[in-house]
Amino acid sequence: MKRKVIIQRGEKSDFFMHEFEMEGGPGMVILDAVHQIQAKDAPDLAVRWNCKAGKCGSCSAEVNGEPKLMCMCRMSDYDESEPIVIKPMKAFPVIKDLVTDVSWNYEVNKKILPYQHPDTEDPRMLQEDVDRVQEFRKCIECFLCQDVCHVIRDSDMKSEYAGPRFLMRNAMLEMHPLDQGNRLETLKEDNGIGLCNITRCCTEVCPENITITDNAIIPMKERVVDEYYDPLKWIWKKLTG
Amino acid sequence: MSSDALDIPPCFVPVEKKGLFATFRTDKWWIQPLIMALILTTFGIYTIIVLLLEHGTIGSIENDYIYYSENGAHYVSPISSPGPNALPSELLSAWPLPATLLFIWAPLGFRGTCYYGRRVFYRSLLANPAGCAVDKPIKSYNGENGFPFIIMNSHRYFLYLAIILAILHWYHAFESYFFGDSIGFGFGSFILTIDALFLTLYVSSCHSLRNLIGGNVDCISCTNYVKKKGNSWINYLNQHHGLYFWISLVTIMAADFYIRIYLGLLGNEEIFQWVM
Repeated sequence: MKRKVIIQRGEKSDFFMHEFEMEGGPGMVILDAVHQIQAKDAPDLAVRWNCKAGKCGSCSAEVNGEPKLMCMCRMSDYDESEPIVIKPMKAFPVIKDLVTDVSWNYEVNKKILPYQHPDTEDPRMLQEDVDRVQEFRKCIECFLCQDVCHVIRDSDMKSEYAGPRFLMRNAMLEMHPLDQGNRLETLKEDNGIGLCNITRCCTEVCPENITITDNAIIPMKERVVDEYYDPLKWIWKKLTG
Repeated sequence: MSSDALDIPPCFVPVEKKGLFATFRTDKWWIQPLIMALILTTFGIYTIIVLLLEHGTIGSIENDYIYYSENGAHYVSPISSPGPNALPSELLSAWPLPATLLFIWAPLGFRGTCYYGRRVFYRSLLANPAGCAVDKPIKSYNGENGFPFIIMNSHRYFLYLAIILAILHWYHAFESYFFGDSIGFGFGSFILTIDALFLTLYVSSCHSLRNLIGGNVDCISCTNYVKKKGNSWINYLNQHHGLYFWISLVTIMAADFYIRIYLGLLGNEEIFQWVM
C-alpha cells in the first residue's frame, strides 16, 4: 500500500518539508519508512537510530506532532488516507533533517551532584528501599520528556530549568537509601523545580512508562516545600534540632 | 541544501504552524481539556447559584438551604459543611455574606492547590499549555516561583483542613441515618455516604499526605510498621488520585443538589426513606 510521508529537512535555518511516497507493509514502523525513503529516494536524509527496539533512545522525533520514538510507532496506527508528518524534536537545535543537537542535556547532567557513598563500612540496603528509585533507572535518555515540556519547548528557559529528565535524576539520587548528598537547594535554585507546573506531558510521552511526575517530580517538590515553604516544619526542626 | 537545490515541489504542509494552539498533532487533543473545563465551569456556576440562594439574591429567603430536616431527616448540604451551627451566632449575625463562604474556601483551596488539580486547571482553564506539544498562547512564564502560583506550595495546609472536612462529612453521613428518634435509611443517607467515601479516598490519595507518611524518608524499611503500611496504602491509592478528584467533585455536587435544591428549594415531600 502506498503511503505519503512528509519529512522536515534542511539544516541551520534553512528548512523545508519534503513529501515522499513509499510502499507501506504489514508491521512497518515509522523508522522503517524513513529507512526505505533513505534507501530509495533520499540517500542524504539524516536520521539518528541504533537499536530499533525502543531501548537506545536515539530515534526520537515528532510524528504527527507527537513526540515519539520512531521505532516504536506503527504505520498502521495512522490514517492511511492522510500523510504522516515527521519532524525533528522542537525543543533542540536541528543539526540536519531529523537529527537534533541534544548536548545541552549532558551539560545539565554534569551539574547534578552525583551519588555520595556513606563512610560506614559495608553499607547495605533492602530491596523495598531500592524499589522506589529502580523505576527511574529505566530511563533511556530519549529526551522526549524534555522535548514535550512546555517550559523548555515554548518558553525556552533552558538556562533556568533542568527539565523532567534531570528532575527525575535528582529524585533518583535524593531517594537513594544510601546517598549522603543534599540536592534540595540546587533543585530549587539551579534546576528550577518551581517552574514545573505538573501538566504531566513528560509522563504521557515517556516510552518506558516511567511515572515521572507523580513518582519523581512531585515527591521532590514536596521535599522542597518541607525545606523552604513550610513554616511549621521549620519551627519543628528548630525545636527538635 | 534547500528545496530549490533538490528541485522538489513545494509541500502543502508548512515547516512551522502559526496561530492560537498551533500544533502538528492530528488527534483530538482538545477534547479532554474541553470536557474538564465544562465540568469545572458547571461546578463553579452551581456554587455561585448556591451562594446567591443563601444570600437571598435569588429564591425565597424562607428556606434554610443548608439543613434539610423535614420528615424527621437530618441532611446537611455538603458544600456548606460543617454549616452555620458550627459557629457562634454572634459571629454569624455580624457576617453579611452567605455563611457557606466561611467554610467553602478550605475545600476549594485543597482542590485548587491539588497536584492533580493543577494539571487540570493549567491545561483546561489557563492553557499553559492546553495540550502536550501544543503551543501556549503566552510564552512568558514564571511557573510556581512567584505570585500567584507560589501559593500552590501551601497544599499541605489545605490537606490538614481537608482531613477535618472528611471527618465532618462522615459525621453528616452518620447523622443522616437518624430520623427523629428512629434509625432509618433515605436517599439522602445513601448520597451523603457516597460523598463521604469518595472525599475520603480523594484526601487519602493526596500527594502531600504521601510525602508526610513515608514519602519524605529515604529508608522506608527503617520506619515503623504503621508508617510502612500507610505508605504502601497511599502509594496504591495515589495512582487513582485523579479519578477520586473527579468522582468526589461530582458526588459532592450531586449530594448538595439533592438536599439543597431537590428537597430544600423545590420542597419535594415524596422522598425515598425507610424508617424502622
